[in-house]
Amino acid sequence: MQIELKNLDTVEGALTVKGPQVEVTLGDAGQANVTIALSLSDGTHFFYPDGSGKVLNATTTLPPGDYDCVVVVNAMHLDVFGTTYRSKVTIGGITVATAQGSVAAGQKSEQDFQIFRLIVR
Amino acid sequence: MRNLILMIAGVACASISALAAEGDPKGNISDFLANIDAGVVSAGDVLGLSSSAITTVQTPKDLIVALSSASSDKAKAGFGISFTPARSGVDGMAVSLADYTAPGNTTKRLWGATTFSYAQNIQAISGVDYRQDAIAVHLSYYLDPDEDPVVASVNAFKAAGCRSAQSGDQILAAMAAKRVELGHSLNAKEQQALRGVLQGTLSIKEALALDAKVAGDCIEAAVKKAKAKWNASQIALTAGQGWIRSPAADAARLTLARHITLSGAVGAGNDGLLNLTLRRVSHEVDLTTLAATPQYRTSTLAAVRYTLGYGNDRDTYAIAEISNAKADSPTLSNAAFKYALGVDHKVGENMWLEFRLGRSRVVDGGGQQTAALLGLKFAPSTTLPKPGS
Repeated sequence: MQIELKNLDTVEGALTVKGPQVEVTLGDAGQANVTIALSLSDGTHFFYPDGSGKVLNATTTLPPGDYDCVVVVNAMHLDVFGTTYRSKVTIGGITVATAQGSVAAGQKSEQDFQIFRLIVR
Repeated sequence: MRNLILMIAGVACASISALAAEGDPKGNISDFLANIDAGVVSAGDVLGLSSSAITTVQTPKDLIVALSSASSDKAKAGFGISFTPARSGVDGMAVSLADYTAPGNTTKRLWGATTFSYAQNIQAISGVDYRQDAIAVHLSYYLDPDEDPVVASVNAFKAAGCRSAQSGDQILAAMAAKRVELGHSLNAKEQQALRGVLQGTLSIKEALALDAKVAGDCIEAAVKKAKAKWNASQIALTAGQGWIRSPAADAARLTLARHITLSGAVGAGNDGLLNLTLRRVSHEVDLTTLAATPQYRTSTLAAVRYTLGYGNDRDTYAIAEISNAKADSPTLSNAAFKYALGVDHKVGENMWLEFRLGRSRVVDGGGQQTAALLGLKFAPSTTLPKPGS
């Protein structure tokens, strides 16, 4: 698995969004059991799934500033439904991370993480 | 002790068998109940093909490999494909797990549980190799989505304890330390350099593995719990057809059999389960007549069963069943009793006492007979077929 970062400032490795209300979505459109965790340096965690619906759609209040972020995607094939994953993370309506593929035959899970900065104006 | 129990069971069995009103009582406890399961659920079942010969298609690549195998020598030994389009990852047919598990998504759940299958093999009959083919479609549907193991695998994450993000916290801590060391926020180059270091750091690997284990354990526990529910409400529909052809150049392809089964299981509270089964096997060829004029037969089974489960550990079951079983029909696989009552009680670890009382048609006449049987079974579960299967 390889998480791809998107729409970041290529030099700063940062996504800039308008605050303080910031919308975050985490979702997966594949068949594997997938978990996505987005952790921010202010201690905020977002986790998909949480049993509430197809996509985690949350709004958080972030004062203007610079935040370190980590996104972890874990795709599992436990003979529940299928093997493919198509994960997406958006912040402020902008896609910031995606992962796409299929859990390799004979493996139960695949994982990856990425780090970036979030600048809230 | 075990011998004593067996002896007592044997004596009891003989005594109760002697109570039979007419004719010979059935000798097997499972004969008292109709087979209410979904019957033939795949093309492989139509041909009696071993499940090991069936390839389950999970990706588009699997589908291509499986189709190419159909024309290979492998097919001669018996070959089958099981394909659930919604779970395959094939664009246009696949349903995401999120869509399948979303509340109110009935059509997606129906499609997600629809499996198509194909099988072929060679069967020797009277020294002649006949080629057999079969196709089938099977659909099953949980009436209560929360009882569906697939939905349960996602709903497990409603519990906060399943949402582990220890790796994220550790990685953030490492980023914070690097920020202090550098004296400024990490730019893109520094982020990727740090990521490379962290990917090889044991504590990060362990945290990632722990997060995955927490999630995986939650999913497996939820699926196991959902599957273990003995009286989940479920309906299933299966339709299949098989064909047989002799190797002669001008031989026509004959219908092997047509199967259609509609089965339902409706839970009644925590303790009850109502099973309904309607199964018809039509145009079933008598294989002994293939060399001459093929003869065909048809059978229909309709059965209703109510099962009551008692005890905290479901250690006692009471069963009442009515079916249209016709033991005088030579084609019927459902040579069961028209009416049957039963009680299964767990008397010890892996030990079940099973009692059946039933009334069936006499094979060689139009009359009916009553028979009873008491048996002791050494197994983790009763002889009862798994409800809802």
